[in-house]
Amino acid sequence: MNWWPETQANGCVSELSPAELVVRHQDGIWRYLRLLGCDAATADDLTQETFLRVLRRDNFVQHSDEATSEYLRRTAYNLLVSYHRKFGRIHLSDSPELLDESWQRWAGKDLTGNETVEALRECMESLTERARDALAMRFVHNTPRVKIGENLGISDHGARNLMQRAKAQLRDCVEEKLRAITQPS
Amino acid sequence: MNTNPSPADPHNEGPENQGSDSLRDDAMLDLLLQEAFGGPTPPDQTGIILQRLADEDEGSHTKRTGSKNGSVSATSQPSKYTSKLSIVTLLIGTAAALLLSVGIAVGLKYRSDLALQAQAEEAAQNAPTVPGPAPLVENEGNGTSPQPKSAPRERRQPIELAGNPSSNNADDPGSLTDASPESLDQPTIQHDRNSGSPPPITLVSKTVDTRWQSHWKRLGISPTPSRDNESIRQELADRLGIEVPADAIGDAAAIRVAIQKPSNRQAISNRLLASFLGKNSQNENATKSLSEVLKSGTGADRLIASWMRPSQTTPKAGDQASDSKTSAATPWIRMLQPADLHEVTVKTAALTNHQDLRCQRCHDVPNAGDEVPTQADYWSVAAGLAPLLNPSRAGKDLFYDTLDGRRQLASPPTEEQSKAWSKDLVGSRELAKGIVSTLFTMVHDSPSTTSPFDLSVASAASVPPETLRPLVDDLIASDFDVLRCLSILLSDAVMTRSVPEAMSPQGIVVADDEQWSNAVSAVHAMAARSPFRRPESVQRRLQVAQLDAKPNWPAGSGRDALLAQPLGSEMTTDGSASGSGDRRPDKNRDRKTVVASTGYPMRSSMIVPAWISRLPDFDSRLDHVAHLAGQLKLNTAQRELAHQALASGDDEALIFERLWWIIRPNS
Repeated sequence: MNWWPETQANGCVSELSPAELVVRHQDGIWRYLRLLGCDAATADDLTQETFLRVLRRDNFVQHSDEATSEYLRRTAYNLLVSYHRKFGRIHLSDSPELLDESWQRWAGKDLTGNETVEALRECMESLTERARDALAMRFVHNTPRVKIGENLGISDHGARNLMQRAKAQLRDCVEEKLRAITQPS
Repeated sequence: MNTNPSPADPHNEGPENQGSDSLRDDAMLDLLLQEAFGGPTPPDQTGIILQRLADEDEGSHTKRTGSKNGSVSATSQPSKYTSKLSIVTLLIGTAAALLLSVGIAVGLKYRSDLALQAQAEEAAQNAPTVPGPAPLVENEGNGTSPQPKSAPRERRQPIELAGNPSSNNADDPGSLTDASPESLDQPTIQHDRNSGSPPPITLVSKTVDTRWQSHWKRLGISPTPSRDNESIRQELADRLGIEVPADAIGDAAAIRVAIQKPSNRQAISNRLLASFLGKNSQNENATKSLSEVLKSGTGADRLIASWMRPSQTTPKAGDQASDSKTSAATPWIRMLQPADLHEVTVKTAALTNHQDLRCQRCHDVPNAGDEVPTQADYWSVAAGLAPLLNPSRAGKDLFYDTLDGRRQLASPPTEEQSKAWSKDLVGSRELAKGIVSTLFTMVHDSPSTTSPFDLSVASAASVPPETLRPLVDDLIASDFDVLRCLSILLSDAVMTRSVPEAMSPQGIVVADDEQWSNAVSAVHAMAARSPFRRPESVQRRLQVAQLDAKPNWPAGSGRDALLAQPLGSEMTTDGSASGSGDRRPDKNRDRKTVVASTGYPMRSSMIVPAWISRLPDFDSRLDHVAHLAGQLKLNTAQRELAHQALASGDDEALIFERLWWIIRPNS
């Protein structure tokens, strides 16, 4: 899956239309807001607001895809800070620079995270059924770790180790796949 | 499905020694894993965003002509968009700026140069000021919350601190603007409590009496002649439970000595506390403290300020405090319980800031001027009191709905403002007004102030502020000697008035409508004493009303059976209409005598404000009468009674007046 418009994929720097800009970056901004701790509805709202803020600006210039993505993320971060001040519900503990480092590692390849999610789905096939069940309980049903252990017939620590190993395996797998995508054969 | 991928997720099963980078990576992986397992995914919002952009461009094109920055546009609101961050802020900010400009313009136009100068001098002199609920309201100093607010109205100048040696009541801008021509002719008795001893009590008493005479003269009402001392002595004993020698009646100094006796002080403490609270209280500690303050003759302000401060004191068993009572953070709220937030807000503002907040829970009071608090003010006070009433609400947001359907976030006071508020009550003029108003109602069984929106009396006949101002000045000057203030009220010209002839036992029978109307007007203007004694208990008043309204309809036959009867008929115990020969006129006469002696309205005499008739239905009008009594709604029995009266053909104005007679608070 590749969301780059052809001109961008070929390395040319040309300005995207508003529609292209939204299509190109909205997934990335939404996931970035989720990384910052937003629930899905808040991420929806702030994603809209981010694009509106940027597109309203007459002096907004698209230097490059990366720069645009970074500018959008910074706008989203600032909007979330305002939101936090207004409602006092979301706590931001990290600076945008630190968050960007992590973001770049995971979603920087395509600036949206779509490739990573796709890679993750493929990598999950390589997990044992038991590990997949544990992660499903954790991420689908939000089951407490003790309960996960009980369901799988193992201890609390056993469940923790199982999920740690599964996630480590997934991380390695995803990194491998992303590396393969960015290194053309 | 867990849809909240917070980095601080307690589910985090990563190694304990992992660094913050790993934690962030883990949070990112968790987020992506959620998506991979079917959790929330990024929606395609392209259409929505472009539509919003197009709407704004179209709708605000003319507005933004000449403006390079399109971000000021605030026109369209698609349904999905809920946070409305910048747009609401801009709208509210613009409205606030406009209102502020209008307020300043109006202020400049109508304030005389002299008043402005006095205010400026006062502001410069009185660094420590006592803001009242207004400080609870104002939150501009809180730099952490740039949230949208309702446009604030122009505020009156902060009230001067009575204990401030530099303050001078003569410079009070309120005195300059509110004083009537008559009051300016009165001898000046305003003293600062630190500037020496207060004026002689007889001088204050005489000044108050002179102002009453001016008030009645202005209204064109002739006060009734003075009644005999024995009658007044009896009334004081019956209504307030105090024993005053007959020869002391009419002499403020002598009454001051008489009510200082322990038995009288105890009775006054009980009554006064009940008047502060608007209901009976069993709080022995508070009564005892109040009695001690009355005995000492100073410091009622300090006692009330201490009630408003959060304390960790655990009530003793003798207080009969329940768990809910002990959870409240201040003695004042513990005394008020059981009470909802509205009751606490209204009563607190009434006592400590002499403000009427009965209507502002739901809407602003229209055409009320700059000094009347707004709905935003109400909710600011409520937001400050909510955590004191219920500590579990601490730190939680308080939202309210405006009449136009918007939802607003109440601006709570900062911690410093809350502390300063209770501290600044000491010596506060607004608190002094609240105490005098409470004492007035306690003594004369009528509110000292009404608004044009009230049901009490015609606003023209309500007590003008300058009449009671000498009492407020004297209370401050005497370091809040409540008994002194009370003794002046007990000896004033109102207390010594006699019952009008039309309301005497013989007069009621022979008086025509005009005579009756004049008598009612005189009573409303405090120029005559009402012969009627309203029962103190709401329950008892309701019983009286039911006694008048309800014939002997049998239990179980229901209201419908009653309402099917011809007006004025009664039913026997078996449900059949009684014949004229079966009636029991003696019992009827006794019942009517009992009802009449309480002052239960028999004919409509109040002016029902026009706004009530604009309400859509009868139930809504009933609820608003309840709001005027500080209640959120009527109880079932009261509502039933009103509906019964309406169905039997009673005039709505009379129904409201009767309802008001039942539910009107004692203070």
